[in-house]
Amino acid sequence: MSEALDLSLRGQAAAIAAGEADAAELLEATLARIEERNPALNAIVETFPERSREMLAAAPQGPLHGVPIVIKDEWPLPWRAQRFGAADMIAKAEPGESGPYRALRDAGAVVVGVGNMHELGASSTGNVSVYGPARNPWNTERCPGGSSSGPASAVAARLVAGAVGADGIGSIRYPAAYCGLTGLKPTFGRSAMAGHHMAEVSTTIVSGALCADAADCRLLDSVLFGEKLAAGKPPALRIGVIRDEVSEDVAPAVREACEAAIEDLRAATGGEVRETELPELAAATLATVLIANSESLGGITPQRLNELDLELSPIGRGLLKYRVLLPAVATIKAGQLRTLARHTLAALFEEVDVIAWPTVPAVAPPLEAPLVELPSGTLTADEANVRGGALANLTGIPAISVPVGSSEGLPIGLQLQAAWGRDELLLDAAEALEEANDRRWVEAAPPARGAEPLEA
Amino acid sequence: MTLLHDPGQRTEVGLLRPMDAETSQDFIPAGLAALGIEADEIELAVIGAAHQLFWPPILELLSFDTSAIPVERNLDLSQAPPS
Repeated sequence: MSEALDLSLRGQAAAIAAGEADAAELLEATLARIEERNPALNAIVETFPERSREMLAAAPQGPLHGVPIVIKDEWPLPWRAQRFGAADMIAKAEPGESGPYRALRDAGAVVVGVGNMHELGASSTGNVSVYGPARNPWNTERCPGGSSSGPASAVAARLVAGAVGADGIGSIRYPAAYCGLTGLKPTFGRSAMAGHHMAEVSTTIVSGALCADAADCRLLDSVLFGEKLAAGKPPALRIGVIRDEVSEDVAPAVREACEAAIEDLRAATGGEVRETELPELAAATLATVLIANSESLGGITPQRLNELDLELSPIGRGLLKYRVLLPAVATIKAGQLRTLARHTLAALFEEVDVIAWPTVPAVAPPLEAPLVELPSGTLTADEANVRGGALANLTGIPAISVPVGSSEGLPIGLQLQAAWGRDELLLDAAEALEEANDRRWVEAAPPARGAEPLEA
Repeated sequence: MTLLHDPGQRTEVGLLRPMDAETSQDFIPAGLAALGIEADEIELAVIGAAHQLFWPPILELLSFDTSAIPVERNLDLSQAPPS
């Protein structure tokens, strides 16, 4: 077994570059680990050892030379069409070189497997997929989060050190929070999107990294961005908090951990916490859902809906059909709300550097019944999660989820959002937060890696 | 004299009638049928649940007059909106 297997992503890259680790050995060890650990997790739905070996043989001396990476089932590969976690994805899918694939290949990385995902990317839970659900390495009866369920589960269980996901309404950040990872939703348009079946129509979806910590995300996102994301010490951060349901209708343990983390971040940067307001937040959530669910309607016809593969889940079939009933006037107003929210945020980011609230209001719910208990009552996880996740996709701003605690042996994530193009600031802030808590939460290991259960 | 209409219906023509709850619940099957879309019982149950979740906020959204809010021309989500 290669000793590099349990190194960080940057550690693997550095060890290979320095000749201290053999990339071929690391690839074989990774494939062996996937074979060993994946059956309990269903995180990776396909490996292709010969293709991976060919990639390695042709790999250039880039920043990820020889490093194994998992890519979500949302992106085509030259030898495999994406399935979008579904038996029927409406849009045409065929093998090809997607933007993330090209970026990985040109950086010398080795695509070692395809990560599971929630069917049609349509949920924050990951509990429905044509492949069966991926499972959370912290507790395999719990949701891994969605829709980038497999990439998150794979990294948390250390099948690989880094994975590429996609985020249309929180789909990188929710699984990052549920699985105890760091996940960056980049500023819209900064990361590779070519080859995605919605690349030409979506105004919410971006590709992005899921890794153990911010430094690894910085490395993998630099590859996806096609530019080096500089690291630095964050300034004295002005941290905006909003006394709204995103920060208050939250499970007590999550609220406590996130408030403590915000205070840690403030103290670590010598900054300040400012209470602020975002009156459009609730309407912005609905606007995001309406826009994201309307942008993919171009390929839908009544006839096509009547011919849906019955292997698609009844939930998937029902939601696709419901989309055509959404009133056009609501989508028009959603677009106007988007403008309003963007202007409000632009003004807000004159006053604060980051906005902070819990990524998700409760820890990962059971796969069988993804419901969460909040002060306001019992909600579906999707209904609760979208409140905090949608704004960044609606407005285009970057957002990051950082692990900051645990409850019931499951991770808790804090979300930080910043102004357009300030992705680097979010990574810097995440690193400052990691240091402030002695890297306790980014280095915590789940039971799927043989570790003891987490204590809060 | 020959009447061209039934006088008993006159009060119905052109007058607003409030939509009752029963008519409102017909929205899903009637809407799908009007579009020629078939749905089985399970799908209808899923759609009904989604409708219950989304429709109240959609109605709230529809109640806003947003005519004063301009739509961004040449929307560029990678940057702040032009001031």
